[in-house]
Amino acid sequence: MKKIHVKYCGGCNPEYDRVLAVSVLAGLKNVTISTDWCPEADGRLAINGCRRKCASKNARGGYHDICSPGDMEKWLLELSDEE
Amino acid sequence: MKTSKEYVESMKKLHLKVYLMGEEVKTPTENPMIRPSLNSVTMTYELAEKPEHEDLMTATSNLTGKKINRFTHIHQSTDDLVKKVKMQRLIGQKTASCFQRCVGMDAANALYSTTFEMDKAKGTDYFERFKKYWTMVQDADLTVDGAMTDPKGDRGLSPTGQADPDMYLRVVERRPDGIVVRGAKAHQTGMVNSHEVIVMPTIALRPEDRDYAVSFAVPCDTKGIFMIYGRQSCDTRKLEKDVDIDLGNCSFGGHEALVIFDDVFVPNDRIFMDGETEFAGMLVERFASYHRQSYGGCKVGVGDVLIGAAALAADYNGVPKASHIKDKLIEMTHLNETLYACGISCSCEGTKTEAGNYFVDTLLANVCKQNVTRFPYEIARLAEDIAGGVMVTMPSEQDYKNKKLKPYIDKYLKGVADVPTEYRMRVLRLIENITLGTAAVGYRTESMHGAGSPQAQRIMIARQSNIPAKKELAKNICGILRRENENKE
Repeated sequence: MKKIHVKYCGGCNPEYDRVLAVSVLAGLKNVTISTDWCPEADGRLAINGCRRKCASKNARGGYHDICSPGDMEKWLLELSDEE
Repeated sequence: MKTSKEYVESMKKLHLKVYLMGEEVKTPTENPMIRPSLNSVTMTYELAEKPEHEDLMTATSNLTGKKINRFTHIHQSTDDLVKKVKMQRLIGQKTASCFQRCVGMDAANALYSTTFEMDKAKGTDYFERFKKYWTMVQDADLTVDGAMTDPKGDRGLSPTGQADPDMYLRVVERRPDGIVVRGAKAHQTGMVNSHEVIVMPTIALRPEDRDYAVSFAVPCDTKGIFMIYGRQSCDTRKLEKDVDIDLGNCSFGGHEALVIFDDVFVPNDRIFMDGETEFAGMLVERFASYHRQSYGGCKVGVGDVLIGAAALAADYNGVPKASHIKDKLIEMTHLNETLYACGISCSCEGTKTEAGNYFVDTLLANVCKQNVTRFPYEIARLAEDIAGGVMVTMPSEQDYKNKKLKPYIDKYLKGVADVPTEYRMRVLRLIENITLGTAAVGYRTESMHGAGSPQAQRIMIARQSNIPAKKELAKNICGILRRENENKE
């Protein structure tokens, strides 16, 4: 079971549905999602609504930037490849 | 933090004295003309509950270390200033109206640094007093109105020179336990939806204006305070039976009120300035600068909705690909993003005050607001251009619901075949609402006069233009400096 920490941007310029994108991730059998900071997370995603990547600006810990549904699909493929 | 439900319940418990259309309003939260504006403020609580907006809507308090609603935050960095603008854009998008809560936030940040510097110069204890008050506001997650604008009477005369000394709010009595104030504050945005009000002077003052140099905070239902709700264009549509389409904006709105302070007692622990005339100008300038920054967020959010509505109207009219339509949408976007760019830039160029909170760049904040006095008018004009004249000639919703008339209206007001006529009517009413209905109060005239009328910004821009240095730049480039140096030799 992988624990993924997700950090949303504020959503002032959403080019896609960020909540829907995270719900797809949350729906996976081997994944749990946390919006709270968790040091033991297996992965950290910055869920950015647009290319400005506000979610990962000045954020502690290394975040993988998601700026589109395509980014999420790509990251999910990498996650399944690891397994 | 309060939930949105807790906020509405807390407003019901207040004993506000509100007058509207000649009558005292028994329950403002239930009044159909007032409720849309309450819904807008409620959105500031609702969005803070959602993880997908937490980054903009919440902050960590420098006073308590707790998570708070950003509307009660004292800005601790330029990042905070930027997030404030983005938050305001977000809520503008969600409500397409003036959501009212920003004035208190701007007043608090101005008072935070002004009281600090006042104490340093005068040996007063206003800063600690203000921090204690604002900690209470943060912990209870209150909505605070920021009351600056006096009625002013004869604009050519000072407060003490007025025929009626109450034309500017003033201290009329000083007691051991507090002060009594009398006067009024005009154009008070969101007063009827606020728990507390912070009062500030409206202009720089001279020593003889001592009684007018007053700043304090009281609950909005304090004895002696009453509010007369401001009339708005198309406001009585909200009273029509089962109205929906004709509102344009079905749920949200804004309001202003004339607020009378009829010999109101203010206890000492709520006083943040009393007689320190030399600091009135600082407080006014700092509040005005923060508030001018705010418009680079909120009006842009409303502009986003208007651009979307205009684009929809073009779709429903069957002309989305017409080159002039595309170009008008581009122009609307360009103007809207220019306002946003100004809001962001004055935030990024902000600096730390002696008190520790962050203040915007005043030149860029004034440039921001000066643009806001113009661009929404052009954005609105372009939206009306795209919408077409039918926006202001359509039959009423009541006619549309009439069984005999509906088939004719459905037939003759249809645009493209696959979009219901009702949708076309709805989006046209939304454009009407923002450009000349109740929301035009916030989008147009408030853009003109809110946070200071255009001339106020021009004065501030002139003061900071640094023309002498620019003359030297020109002289250097065209060789005058070189020639002047040669002539000296």
